[in-house]
Amino acid sequence: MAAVASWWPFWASKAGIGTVNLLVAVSFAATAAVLYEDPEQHNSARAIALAAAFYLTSWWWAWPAEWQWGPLPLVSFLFGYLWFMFGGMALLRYPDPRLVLRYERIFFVALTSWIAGLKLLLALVSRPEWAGFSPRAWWPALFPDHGLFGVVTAVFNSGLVVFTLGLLGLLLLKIRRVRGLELLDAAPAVVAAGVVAVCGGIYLTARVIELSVEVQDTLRIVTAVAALVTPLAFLTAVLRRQFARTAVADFVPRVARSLTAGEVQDELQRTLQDPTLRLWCWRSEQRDYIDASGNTSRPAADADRWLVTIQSGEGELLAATDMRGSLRRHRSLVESVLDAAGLALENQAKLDEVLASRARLNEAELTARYRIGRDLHDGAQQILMAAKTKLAIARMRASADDGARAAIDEARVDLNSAVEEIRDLARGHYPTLLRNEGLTAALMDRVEHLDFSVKLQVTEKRFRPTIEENLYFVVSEALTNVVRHAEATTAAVTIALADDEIVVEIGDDGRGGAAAGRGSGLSGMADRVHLLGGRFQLDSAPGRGTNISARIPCA
Amino acid sequence: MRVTIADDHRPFAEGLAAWLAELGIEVLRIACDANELLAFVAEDPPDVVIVDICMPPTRTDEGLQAAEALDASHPDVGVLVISTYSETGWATRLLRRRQRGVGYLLKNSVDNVAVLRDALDRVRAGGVVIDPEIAANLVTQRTVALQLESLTKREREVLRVLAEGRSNAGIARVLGIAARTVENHVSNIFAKLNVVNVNDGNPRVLAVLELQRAEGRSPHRQ
Repeated sequence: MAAVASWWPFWASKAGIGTVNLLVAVSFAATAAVLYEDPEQHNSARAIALAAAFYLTSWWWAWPAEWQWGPLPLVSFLFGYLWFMFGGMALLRYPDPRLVLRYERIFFVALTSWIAGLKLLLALVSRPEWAGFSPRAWWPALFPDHGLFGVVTAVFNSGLVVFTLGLLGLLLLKIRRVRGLELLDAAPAVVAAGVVAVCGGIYLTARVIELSVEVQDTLRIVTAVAALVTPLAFLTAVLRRQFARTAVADFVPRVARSLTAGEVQDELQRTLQDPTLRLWCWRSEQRDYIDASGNTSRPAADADRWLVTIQSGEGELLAATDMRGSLRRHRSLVESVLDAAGLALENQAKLDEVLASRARLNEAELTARYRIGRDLHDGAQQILMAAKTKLAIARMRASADDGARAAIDEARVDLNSAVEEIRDLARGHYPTLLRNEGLTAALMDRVEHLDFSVKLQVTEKRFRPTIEENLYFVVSEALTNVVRHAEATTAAVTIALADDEIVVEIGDDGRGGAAAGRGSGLSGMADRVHLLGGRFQLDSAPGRGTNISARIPCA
Repeated sequence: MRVTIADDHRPFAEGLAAWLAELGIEVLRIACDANELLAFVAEDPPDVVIVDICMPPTRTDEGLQAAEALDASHPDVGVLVISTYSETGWATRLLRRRQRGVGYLLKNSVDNVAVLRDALDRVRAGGVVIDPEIAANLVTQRTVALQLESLTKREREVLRVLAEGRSNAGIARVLGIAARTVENHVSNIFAKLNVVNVNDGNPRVLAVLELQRAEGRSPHRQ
């Protein structure tokens, strides 16, 4: 309303520029109001409101003479151009609440001094009507000199052109400096400031080189229209911030799928548009942090960086992140993103716990198997062997004709069966050969007495005991399945190393149709492979044999 | 014949000692580990030592290490290693370390009087012995890619007896055929298996054992 009122007289005479100026003032005021809603942008809102106010002030020369009361014309003359200063400052620093760099601050101090100082000098050497105000306006005209006024005006305007070029330079530097979300925020404002500065610069140049009044008026309107871009720029920036916030919605399902701290870090970098962001996971047992590559390190305390911790739902420390300091302005966005990351990390920790307990169970199972296998080998098996030597002595001493030898020979047959059974039992539980001689020897021993031929191709390379042992039981169980269900005549077992992966293939030419969950032990085999971090695949179409393949990382 | 035993499984070692005594073979001492064996041999060298492969402290291949040590200190003492397992890897390792007077017998075979006597006699005489069961498995072996399809039935028999460590004359005697015929068979076998024909004894057995291991283990060859 104030704008309309202050404008009315001028509007009546020059409707075109009046409308434009009204729009500029109203949209600036609206922008200030919108920005003021964001607590981080109060300073920007104030600067924009001041720019709007000074913009209006700068047009008071167009008021009718009876309105030009007291010192108002002088205020308009001295400070009107400050709209350029405040607007430029708001746009240059946005979205920061203040100017970050020293030379930027120096620039605006110099601009303010230039405007206030030279305008005061102009006022001293002029009469109000020379500046387009009412001749009756209050004016400190100490040494009115028309010639001097003209020269100083030209100097003043030339200086403003230089400042305009300077502002363009600062804007370019800013675009080159900012990164990530900040660029997203700043770009529209910088572009708007650039447009206004270029138009204003052309207008001022036209005044310096004294082009015709019509050209000057047109350029003045063009500049005013260009100023309309500014609110649009802020609106765009606000909208883009909203978009950045909706990126959190995409972030949540993506981060929930990530399996490692490294993947969580990648997602955080992408969503917060900060490739320098680092994530450190807190290990409560060791009371230290490890980074995404698993190295023990500490988040560095650096003034340019923003260090934020991530807590679980129960408030336990999960991790710390370190990101660009500029992200502080997106506090609510960052907090939402880190909450989601916290959930993902918490789930990972729980999954790790489950995996660790599964690994411990597996370890216990293997140890128990080893113990039984060793006991069978060192205990029962050796005693049976000893018994065999004693029967041999008995047979030697028995006479051939009274049937004693025949009875002893029958006992020896039984004893040999017992030896075989114990051997099979030991093989099934844990062949001691496996630990000392490796997979090849153990598997050769395993297949020796099967009644179908098995083609073994097993790499000589030794792996971690857990890998070798679980692989042995996978193959052993698969062969047991072949014996029990497949009715196969041949089987093939391949264990090879390909690109840091152990590739296991077990195939037979039996009747196929194997499926997990029918007491076939298939799910147990799959469990073992998964426990080793590998992939398990079963291919068993009826009539086409059974093929099992597993790929296991052997790091 | 004088024998020293090394096996930490006491019931078996004592059973074996009694059995050897029954066969008229003198058992000097029973050692519980490789070090004790070496001390006993140094004290009173026997004709042959019978050594379990897996002995304390690690139960991995102490018997094989003892065989190697004896090869250096007492080359004339025959070494017959015994094991529960038919591990051809152990057999090849043993044959690489000792050229002569060496044998590998399954514990399951020692109650067979013919096999035990034959093994002890041949090892004492400086020959090479592989348990007949291992040799038979080698030839009937369905677990490896040995190219046996090209061998005739007779050639397979010859290969089996050859793998037991016997000389051409020994093969002829066991199979009841002429020594010249055996020679022909052997050169045919080696030609078919694509192995350079080697003379009698250790290198020939080793060639056959390694043939199985190499073919069976290599993931690159079919």
